[in-house]
Amino acid sequence: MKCMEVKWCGFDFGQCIMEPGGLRNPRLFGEIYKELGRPELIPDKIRKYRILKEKYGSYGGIKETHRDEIYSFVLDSDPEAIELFSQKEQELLDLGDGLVDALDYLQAQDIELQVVSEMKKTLGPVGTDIVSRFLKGKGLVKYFKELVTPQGKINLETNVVDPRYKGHTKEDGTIYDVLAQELRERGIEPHEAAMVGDKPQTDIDPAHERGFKTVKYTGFVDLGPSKADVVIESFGELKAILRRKA
Amino acid sequence: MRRPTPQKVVIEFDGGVKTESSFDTLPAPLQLELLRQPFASSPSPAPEQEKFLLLEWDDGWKEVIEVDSTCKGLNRYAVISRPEDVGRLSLHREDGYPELIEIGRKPLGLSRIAFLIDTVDTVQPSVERSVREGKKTDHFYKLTKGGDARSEQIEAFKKAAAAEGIDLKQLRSQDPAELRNHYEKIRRRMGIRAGQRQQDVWDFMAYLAKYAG
Repeated sequence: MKCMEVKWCGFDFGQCIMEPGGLRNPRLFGEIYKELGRPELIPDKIRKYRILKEKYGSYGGIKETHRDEIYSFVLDSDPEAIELFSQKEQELLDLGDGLVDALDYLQAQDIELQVVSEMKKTLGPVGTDIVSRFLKGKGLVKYFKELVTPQGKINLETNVVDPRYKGHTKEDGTIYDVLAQELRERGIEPHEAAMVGDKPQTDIDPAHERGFKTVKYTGFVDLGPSKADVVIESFGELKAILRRKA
Repeated sequence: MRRPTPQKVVIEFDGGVKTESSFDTLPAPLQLELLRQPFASSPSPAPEQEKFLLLEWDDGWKEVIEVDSTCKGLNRYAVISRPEDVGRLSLHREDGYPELIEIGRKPLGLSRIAFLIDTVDTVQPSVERSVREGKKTDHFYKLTKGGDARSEQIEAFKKAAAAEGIDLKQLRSQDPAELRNHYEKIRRRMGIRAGQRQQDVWDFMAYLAKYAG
């Protein structure tokens, strides 16, 4: 397998370092309504959530643009249920296969690590958003000190926001322009940086076009052809692909 | 004439204790479960005005499900494999929230779906794309129009009735118990089962009888 020498490595969040496979409806709504003391409502809530999926096509689609309807149609605008939904939704998310092992290796190699996320489904104030809460909750802040997003680059230890990235997205690629410029200022050229993600349109192709090395992760979902330099199924494979550039 | 709407559920305990609840306030799955029970089933007063789903499989199995009167048409079909397979068939409804039917029997083998009212929408599902997400795979189907399940079933009804020696004209004047007995014979001969509650298939027989006559 192709070995790439880098000084910096960025990771996508959703369906990459975070796997939503544990977010099963029977468990999610089961835990919410058992905690609320109304377990008899569980089948009805699961059914309503599935009806919303039929209406909007996917759970991702509901969360992205119709989250208010989860609260009103499924959770009956019950503030306690809404709070528990956000909390449980967070708890049930998993880490990608082999991630921690790979991060330990990359950190030992002295490769700088960052999360680069579009944060589309992650409503909430900076620092309390789903990505930050996930990274903090799963103990990943020791690997990822910073989170690059269209809302700015967030320091996860201080919550200080670098505004240079504001308004720049992965989808239009401009977030990688800012990233390349910032890395250059620190002596790292784009070809000495690698981006790992699952989505060709946002994680792989625009980064590749700007000279970044690109690794497509298909451990959770394979979203089709891309310009990736390498395709991996498990993060464990990164140990054979990436090493520190001298 | 429309089907009577359930109003309340009363539970009598021994010792004379009695509790009751408005039917509307019960969770939807419980409402469906209660209405599935034979004691709560009654024939539709106007079966020709009811709406039905006819499901057909690649091994010849057929099921019918009577759906809510606000259903307007087929929405989509998908199967989720985890590794157990569950089919999700949804129909458009007037209130904007789709009716959802779960298909437990061989979801990947469903070969034809028909939505019958006074007309019919008959489609053949075929896998358009499959997307693996972690340990599950979503199979998304395209629904291609083809055939006329309603005409076929009306003809099949006539043939089955004739084979059982049942006169279609007599069906109109029979008492409910005798009628049900005849419908049961015809539906067995036709190879149609109820998907969720037995009354659905008898209503469907009554629906076909109205148009077969």
